[in-house]
Amino acid sequence: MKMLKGFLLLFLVLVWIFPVSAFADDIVVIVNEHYPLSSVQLSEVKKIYLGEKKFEGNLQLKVLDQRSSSTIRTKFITEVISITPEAYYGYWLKKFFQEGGFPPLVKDNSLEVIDAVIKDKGSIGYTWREEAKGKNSIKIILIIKGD
Amino acid sequence: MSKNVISLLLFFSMLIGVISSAFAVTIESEEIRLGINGYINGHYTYMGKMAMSETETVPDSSTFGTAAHLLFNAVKNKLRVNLNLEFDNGAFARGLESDDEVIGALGIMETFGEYTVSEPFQVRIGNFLTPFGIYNQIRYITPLFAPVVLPMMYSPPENYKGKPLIPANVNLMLFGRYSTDITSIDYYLYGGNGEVNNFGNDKNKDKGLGGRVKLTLPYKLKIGGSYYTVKDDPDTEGREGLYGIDFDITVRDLNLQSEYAKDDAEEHEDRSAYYTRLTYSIGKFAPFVGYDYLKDKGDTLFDHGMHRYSVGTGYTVNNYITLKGEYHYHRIDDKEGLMDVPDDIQMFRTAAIFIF
Repeated sequence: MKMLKGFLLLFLVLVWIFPVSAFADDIVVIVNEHYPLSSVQLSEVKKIYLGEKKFEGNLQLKVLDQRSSSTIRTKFITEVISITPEAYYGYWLKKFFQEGGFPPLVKDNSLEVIDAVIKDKGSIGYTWREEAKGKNSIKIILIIKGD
Repeated sequence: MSKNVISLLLFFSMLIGVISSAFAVTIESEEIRLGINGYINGHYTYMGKMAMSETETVPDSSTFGTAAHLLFNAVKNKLRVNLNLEFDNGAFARGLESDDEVIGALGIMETFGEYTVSEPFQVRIGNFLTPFGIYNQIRYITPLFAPVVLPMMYSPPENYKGKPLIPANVNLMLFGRYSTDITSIDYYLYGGNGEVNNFGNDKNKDKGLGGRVKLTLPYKLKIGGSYYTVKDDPDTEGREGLYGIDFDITVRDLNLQSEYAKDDAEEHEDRSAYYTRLTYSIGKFAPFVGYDYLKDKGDTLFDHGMHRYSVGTGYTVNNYITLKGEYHYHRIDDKEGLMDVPDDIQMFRTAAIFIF
């Protein structure tokens, strides 16, 4: 009986811990609940963050980034854009000269990203999956699995 | 010699000042974004002895020069305002009949407002570079993207008396992009005053009109076509039609670029130019080889054409500094025999570009 209780306790602990640890490294791309799409491909997100796509239908996109010193930003740029953060900066520096394009608007942290997405239906940003979980007025349109 | 040293010292002290302050500015809020960026290009050019006509030559020369650009961009929702300032900081040439100092000048290269109705429909009004071919619209920032010396259709050699095969600035443009997952089509329809006189006024009542279409396909294959017509100089040129086609493909680290342009004028012999260039990106280096050709049936020196063979490399130190070195060999197609003037020109050019 003691052993059974022990297993039960262990099971409950694992159930409680497992979802957190499994999703801890996942990044989600979030948009306002009124955004016209409910899912996008990774290649679309890449186009948006490279400034190649500025509209979704008639809706002008407001693209949000996070501080360059943050872990999530390094991971997002490396995995989604497939270049180093330095090369990403260089890309936008040249784009400024070519087209007058501005890089995504930088927010201090995920909470600010979520706030901006809630306020503007054209905003698109990224956060850790856990940070977006249960938030009202936003929707997840892409999950980028962690390691 | 002392002038050379002073010029160099002045240039490098200016660069150190600029780089250390690194004054790229971005002011942003939810409503408006303002960016101020620019670059400085310091260059040295050696030109070998060259023919200026069938009987005249100029001796070899060395030139130190600097040029800079400052770009202001402000965006509020769907409106963008752009101001593009050009600082030609002058040059010092040695080796001509007397050492020659060119005083620099400040000019406004572009200033316009742009409104984006939607991605396929945008409007631009002001005074801006014409989207003709690969480089015309961005020719002022060429050092950032390509070899320092532009192809001859954009920037002919010094001994060519004609004008480049590109249109003057235009003033009104409708443009946009239609795209699918893997392809896109960019279009540009524009009109303008054509060439202006020294006071900035239109030369005549005729307006320049043109358009460009660029198709982007998988594997970064880009194919473009451009057309522009104007009647700037009725007596010498008549109605002119400029045609251009261009091609650009990138496969892994190799980029192949090629372009052709023709100027078909009523009162002048046809002019044409083309080039092709292969660039290989290997780490921070970008070595290239190229071939370039310019022909003007109405010019005594270029009536059979001039060939340019190029080799060089760029080296990207980091996001802010790029170094470039190039060698160009020019040969005049000498079918009838020139009178005691060389039919070839050697050119060496090196540059340091500082971006901020």
